[in-house]
Amino acid sequence: MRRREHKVSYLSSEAIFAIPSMKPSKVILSLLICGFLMLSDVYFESSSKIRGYAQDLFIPLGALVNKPVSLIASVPDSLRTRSELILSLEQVEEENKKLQVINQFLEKVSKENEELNSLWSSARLNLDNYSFARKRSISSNEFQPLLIVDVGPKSNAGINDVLLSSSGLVGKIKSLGLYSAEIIVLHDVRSSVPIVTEKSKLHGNLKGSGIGRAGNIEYIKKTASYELGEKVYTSGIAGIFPEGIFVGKITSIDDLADSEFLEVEVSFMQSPFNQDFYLIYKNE
Amino acid sequence: MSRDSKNQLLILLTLFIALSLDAYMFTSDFQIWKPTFVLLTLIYWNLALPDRIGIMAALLFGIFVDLLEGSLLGLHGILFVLITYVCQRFFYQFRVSPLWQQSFILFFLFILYKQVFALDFMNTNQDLTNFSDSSFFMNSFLFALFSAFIWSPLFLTLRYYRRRWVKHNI
Repeated sequence: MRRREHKVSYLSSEAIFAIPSMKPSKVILSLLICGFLMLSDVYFESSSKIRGYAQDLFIPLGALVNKPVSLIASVPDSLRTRSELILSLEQVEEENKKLQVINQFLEKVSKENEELNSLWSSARLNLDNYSFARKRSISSNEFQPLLIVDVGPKSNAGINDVLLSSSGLVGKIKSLGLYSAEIIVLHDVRSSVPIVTEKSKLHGNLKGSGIGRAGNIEYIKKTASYELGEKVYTSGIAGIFPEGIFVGKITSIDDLADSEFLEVEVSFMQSPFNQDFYLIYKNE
Repeated sequence: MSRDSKNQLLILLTLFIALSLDAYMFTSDFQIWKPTFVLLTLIYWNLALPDRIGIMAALLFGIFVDLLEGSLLGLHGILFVLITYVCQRFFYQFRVSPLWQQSFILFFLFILYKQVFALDFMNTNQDLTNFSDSSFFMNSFLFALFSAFIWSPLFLTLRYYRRRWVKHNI
């Protein structure tokens, strides 16, 4: 028994076997460390330099779960192969099943090819500036969802490069590692995209509001003449997002009595959840 | 290797497995509701062996989760440290209560835990709210519910693991 696990009673000199709770000073010190980290992140974005590399380090963690999952998935197949050795009829059935499995794989490959082709056909700018990226994960943070994509070590992607899908703009690169890139998606509350509308040609700034929520165009005068269903594209102002990329559609225009601005909501056509392949566009 | 170091490694191993479960990508809806396995595992070790798990582990894994989830660096760290402290402060009361009561307490703890993520530390969105946003509250409710439901099986699994592998010093 370690010494710190018991005290000695002053009255009877008997050992009191009580586990001491952690010292408040240690807790306060830890809270101060966390507070310092938060402040440095808020004011200097200190973590953005290490986040991409941290995601590289987390790759083995993903494999730790993915490998057992794939092994468990392969168990029924191996059991079925043994039973086939007994009856030739079952061998034929097995062959049939294998063909079905191959067909399923072919379907998957053709579906992925279709998605890739659709991505390439959506590329309207200089093709040399595009590179492929594959989704690895997306965080469960509702207001600040973080999309992680795999980028090859030879990729020439950089910070603030734009991520596109076949249905339009997805976000931009926030942090970059050797094999991973962190994307700040349009739905993120920190996201802000200069936009222009299709028909009324009005400029604005589109802010995200979280996953499953429509974005808002900020500070719009009440005299502005937006139309419902109007398409919204990037305006190219500020130079980060290239001009003319589809962002979403206007779904709601509210003139609230207690606000001096119009409340214009834009629904995004693309969700980071239901896409597997993306294009990274290097904006020069 | 000493018994203490071996025990520490075995505890850290469970936390890393929990972290890898957190890194696993589920379907779109469940991704938002899925429990934070690292936190649940940390709570278990704080209840079971409070002298073997310290504030440093809470801080370290909090920062790991921050990096994994993309939240403000140190935010999960603060929450993990506070929850660890509360668990260690009240572990005598909490440990003796039945599993359903523990789940019930954790349910409310996790609803409060989730509300912190709606705080706008970076002043990016004036409209960001928590309880008034029905969708966010519903997601918080489901997150807390899943966490409370998963607590009992996780508790029993980790207890079996502790009894089987993590030996006490005598």
